[in-house]
Amino acid sequence: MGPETEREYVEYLNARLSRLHRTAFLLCGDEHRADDIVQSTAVALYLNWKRVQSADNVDGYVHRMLVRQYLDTKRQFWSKVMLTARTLERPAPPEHGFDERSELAPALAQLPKGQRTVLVLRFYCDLSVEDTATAMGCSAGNVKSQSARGLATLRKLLTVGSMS
Amino acid sequence: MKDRYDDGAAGDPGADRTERILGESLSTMDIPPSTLDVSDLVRLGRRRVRRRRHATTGMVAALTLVAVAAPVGLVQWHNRVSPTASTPVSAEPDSSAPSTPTAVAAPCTATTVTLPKSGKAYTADIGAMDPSGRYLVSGPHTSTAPILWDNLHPRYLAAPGPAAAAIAVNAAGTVVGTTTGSKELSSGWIYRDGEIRYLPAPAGYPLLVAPVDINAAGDVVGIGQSKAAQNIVPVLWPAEATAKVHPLTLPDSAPAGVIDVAIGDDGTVAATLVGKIASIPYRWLADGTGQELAIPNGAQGGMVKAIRGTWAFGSVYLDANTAGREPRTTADPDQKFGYFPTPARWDLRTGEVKLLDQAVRGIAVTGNAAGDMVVQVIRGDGTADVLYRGGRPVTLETATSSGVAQPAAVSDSGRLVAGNDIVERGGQVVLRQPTMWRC
Repeated sequence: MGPETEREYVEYLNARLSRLHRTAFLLCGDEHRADDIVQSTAVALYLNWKRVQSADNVDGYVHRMLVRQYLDTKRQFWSKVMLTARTLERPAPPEHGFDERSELAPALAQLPKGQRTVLVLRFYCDLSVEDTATAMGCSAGNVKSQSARGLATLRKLLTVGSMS
Repeated sequence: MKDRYDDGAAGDPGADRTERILGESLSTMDIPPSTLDVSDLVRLGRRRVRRRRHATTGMVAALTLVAVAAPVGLVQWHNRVSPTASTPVSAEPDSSAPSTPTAVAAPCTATTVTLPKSGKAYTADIGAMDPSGRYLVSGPHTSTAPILWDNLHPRYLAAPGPAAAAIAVNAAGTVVGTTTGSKELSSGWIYRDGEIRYLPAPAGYPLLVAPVDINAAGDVVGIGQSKAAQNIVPVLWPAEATAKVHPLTLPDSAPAGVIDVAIGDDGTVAATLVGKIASIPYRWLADGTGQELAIPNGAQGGMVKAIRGTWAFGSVYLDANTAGREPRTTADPDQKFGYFPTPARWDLRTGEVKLLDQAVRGIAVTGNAAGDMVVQVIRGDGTADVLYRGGRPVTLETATSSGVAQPAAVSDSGRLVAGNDIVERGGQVVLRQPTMWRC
């Protein structure tokens, strides 16, 4: 990579690193894994920067790479177990003054991987249904159904939380 | 094309509200800060480009792996850990296992492992093999029901639930695995004598139950989360009556729980305990008494991942002189404390621990009765799984033209190695080819 191209890469990363990190954290719910996902994505991005740069939608392309890294994470079994465990370890919700925001992170963590990914990409990254489908390598219909189910589950979890 | 599903629940005012709260909350909720730095990431990218130029074939890549794992900066602290007579430690390269000087010259030959025939495109990988090498089970990257191979003949296991996955198999072909229940919590199943049954949860541990390992007799060890203490403890399902499942007692020094468990053929259970400062390698003998596994002086804790024969495999954390350190890497969460894992093997008869090579960063994730080990080697930008025999890396022929061999298990004879051939393109995995190597 020439110095000029590398400067452009650095500029892009400087502007997007915190957003990529937030996306990765929202997807996996673990700070170390989030860093690992972002690091792998950044290295892959460096290797393919020229191609990515010429894409119509650079952010969409990078999101796709990040989602792939997340879905490919090794030791999937353990990550699932630990995520579930962490969710259950959260303190009981307060009896009064229920705050949907503080409840949302653990509720999100309880969703199946596909639903969680769809909700983060659509409602945090603001990707369209089509871009989300491309990022996840599935059909638009699949994104819509996962989105609807994810939202329904979240609503249920939040309702149950506020009543307990 | 018309989709069957509506985007969100149209006409339901609750849907919009949830979407709005979701979007706002995801953008503003507090999350832990990242430890990543743009200049580190650029450095990693440059190094990866350099390595690509040099490692043009899978063969060359495998041979350079160890050199890559021991950059110049790490050699300097090589002698800093000084084992003393008080701790049974041997830091020199392993000499007890049969030395195979020809291993690198004559690579193990690859045979692709076929998947069950299906009209649909799907992917599967190999997760585990029994110590005899007869049985294989599919791994976490399998998009179908779990697969069991008997002498390389595949068949599906009708495990319950859409997210069922096989975890371990023994020489009798008994398989244990996990599935996700209605509340998205893990629960366990066992396949024995042609039938699949749920593994019962121990009383008081309804939150999470998952089998992790099985020994020759069919004793199963796993993890469960206690309702009362909320911590994760080892759970044992004895072979003679899985209904008599019971948790193992954690030592007072580590009430927080375990992160890895394994079981040996004599009933010994090994586990990585969550300690106050560092993780602790630990074992319970068949009679239930427990003790910490030895670590070298100067080391800070360790992990134990597997038992085969009389060996336990894992890692110990050595003190990394901060000078010359690389940015934190995958599978190396403790690096921020100035410690990094080096592959280790314990002789469970004597309690002695041997380090593979202090210059290799990584974790021995499994092994065989002869002491061979599969090491997840940690490199600057990720990990690579490498088979070590007699202290030296064994070259596995790649099954595909552009892939990298990734061993997952080695038979007790050392002649069969099971795993996957991984093909990456632009840093992304595009193919996992299930593979059996003959050595």
